[in-house]
Amino acid sequence: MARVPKRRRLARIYDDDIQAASQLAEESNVPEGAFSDAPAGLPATELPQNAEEVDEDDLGELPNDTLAAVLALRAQFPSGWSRDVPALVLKSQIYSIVKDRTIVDRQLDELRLQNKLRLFKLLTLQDGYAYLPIDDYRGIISRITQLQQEKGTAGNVLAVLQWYQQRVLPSCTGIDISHTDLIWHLTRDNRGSEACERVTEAHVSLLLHVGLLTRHSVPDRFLFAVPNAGPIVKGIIVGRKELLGMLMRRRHPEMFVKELEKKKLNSSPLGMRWHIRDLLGSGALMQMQTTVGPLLRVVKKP
Amino acid sequence: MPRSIIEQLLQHQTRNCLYDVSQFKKNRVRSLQVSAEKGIESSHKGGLNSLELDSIDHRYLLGAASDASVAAYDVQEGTPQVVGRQSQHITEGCSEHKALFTVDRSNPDCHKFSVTSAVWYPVDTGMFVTGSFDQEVKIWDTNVLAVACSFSLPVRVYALGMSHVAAAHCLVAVGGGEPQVKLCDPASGAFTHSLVGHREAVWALHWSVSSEWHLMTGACDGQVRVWDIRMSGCVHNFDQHDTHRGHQSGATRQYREEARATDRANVSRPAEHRTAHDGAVTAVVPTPDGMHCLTAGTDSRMRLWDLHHNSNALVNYPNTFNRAKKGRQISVSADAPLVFHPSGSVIQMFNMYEGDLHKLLRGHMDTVNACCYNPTTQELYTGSNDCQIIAWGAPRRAAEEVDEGDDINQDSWSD
Repeated sequence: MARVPKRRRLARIYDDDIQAASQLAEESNVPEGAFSDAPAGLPATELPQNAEEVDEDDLGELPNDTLAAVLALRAQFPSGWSRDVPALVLKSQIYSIVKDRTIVDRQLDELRLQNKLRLFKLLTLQDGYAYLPIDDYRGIISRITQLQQEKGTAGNVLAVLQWYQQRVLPSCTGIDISHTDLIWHLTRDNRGSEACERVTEAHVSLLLHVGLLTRHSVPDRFLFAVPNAGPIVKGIIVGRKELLGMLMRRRHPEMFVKELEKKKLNSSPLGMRWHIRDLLGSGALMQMQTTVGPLLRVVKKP
Repeated sequence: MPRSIIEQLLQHQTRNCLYDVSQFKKNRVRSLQVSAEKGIESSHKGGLNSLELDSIDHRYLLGAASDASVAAYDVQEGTPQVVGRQSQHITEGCSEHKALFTVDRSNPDCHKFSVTSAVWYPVDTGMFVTGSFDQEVKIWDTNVLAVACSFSLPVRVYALGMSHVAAAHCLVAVGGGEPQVKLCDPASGAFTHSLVGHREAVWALHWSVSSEWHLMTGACDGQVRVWDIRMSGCVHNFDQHDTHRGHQSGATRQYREEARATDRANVSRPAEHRTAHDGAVTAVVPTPDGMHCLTAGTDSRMRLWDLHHNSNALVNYPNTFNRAKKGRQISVSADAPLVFHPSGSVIQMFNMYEGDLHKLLRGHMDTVNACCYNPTTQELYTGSNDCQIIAWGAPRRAAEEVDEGDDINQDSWSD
């Protein structure tokens, strides 16, 4: 994945500059080939907003606005974690890049149903819906398989990870799944008939143990989850509180974007820019243009 | 290609010929502001909880307030003024609309606590029904202003509704502090049956505009259910994750089948665990054409539901903050199409199918609880906790906006 160079014009992050995002996506296209087969299925109506600047030949390969935004945000996920943390993208961050929220909602839904993005509901966050591209998720599963092999779990139990990837993920794109559905899907094979392996409780417990599923508050249902997402959720909660506190403590709860970005957040490893985008999209902060530059203000709720 | 003079003349003619009626109405609704022609003088001493216009003439506005008072206003004809005397807060050219009658504590049949909902009898305005926190639903005779019939419930009443398309029944649906929705029959004076399914108090309900047997209710547990009152159990329970995207036009058949197959998990979620909102539901309103339904909840979201497929239409209305402690009315205009959502002391006007904010209506000084749209005159009436009712209408000059022809169509004779 091409690393985004650090020194960029700050204003571009918050602008509705889809071309920058789609250019970024194209750069990342070349090394990874992340969606070489993808856009063939996309209808022609999903062009970037500044369609007149796009070359005619590239129309088929360009991702739609929301996918470009997701990939751009994923590229900017801060690194330097102690554990292997997935690069999640929150829905509120996508709202801060693409202005029309209805289009974002609909495109995210289509991408989820086409299996290009995976949706996770982060528990303990009030409205936390996070997206992860499917290839990242598959990469995580293969890393887990390797780790488990090194730890020496039994081969037949380990096969469940493979079945999970091949059978459950493509057909279940929701945020949760019931126990009976899970077993049903794990025992199908590619042609739809029942395979010879039997799925036992040990298989399901391995999935739970590894972190790919978590128990739902509703009995007998599991939520799809990403392992090691804990530090992210903690960082989000703590970082939001610190950033809002930093702004509210002043006489007027506002600060220039340039000043705010220079400050560092002590509590959250996610970084100031990540939190600013999240709060902008969820409506807690509002950006205004002034003669001196963009200004961020805390929105007063009625 | 140079156009012939005849073509140019014909085009000029059609452009000056008025907008057609729907465009005219659309422009009027979009330019709403505090009405300079009508002023409704509220006779309530407590905050307004609900407003309803009668469905026959769209003339009489019934308001229910927290000081247990119920009053009706004529919005078409103003109160005739005594010659030589002008009320100080009404400007010239403005008609003042005082209450036609007020039922307050001087009336022996009045409610004891705050009245949360008052609805007209759909057939004529000779009768109206009120529900209040004193756990009673009272049916009033308008001419005598006395209670004809009253129903006693074990809990506070939050919402009432009577079906506007009913021919075979005249049941009053009552949503209260208990999970069952009760149906009362004024003809017999008794409860007919209750609809069981919700888990917490029911704050909002509305009868369907297309069927006299279907009722939609929203409760504090976040569920919105559609009931057929002739059957036991609900017909449908809306789920915010069920988006039914497989039916997009322009998608190939294979894509549609795949989409439906991958969404099986959402479709198979058991009914008790589906929620329309992550918080309490404060309003349920169907659109006048009966194809969509809007719900608002305390999770600060407003959602549009497609009633044909019973799925989420995925329209995002930004910044709809909502921290209500009881039901709050939202209103829909089919003309623009617009939806009016009260948020704090302002009313937000959203484009219904796109979700973008068109305008903010500022005028009230306290939380707005009630809003009611008049489709005949394209006016909006809103009531809030500051005890006032404000009428919003199009400014006078809006109808006379003429689109001046451009100079290309000027005659180019040489003289």
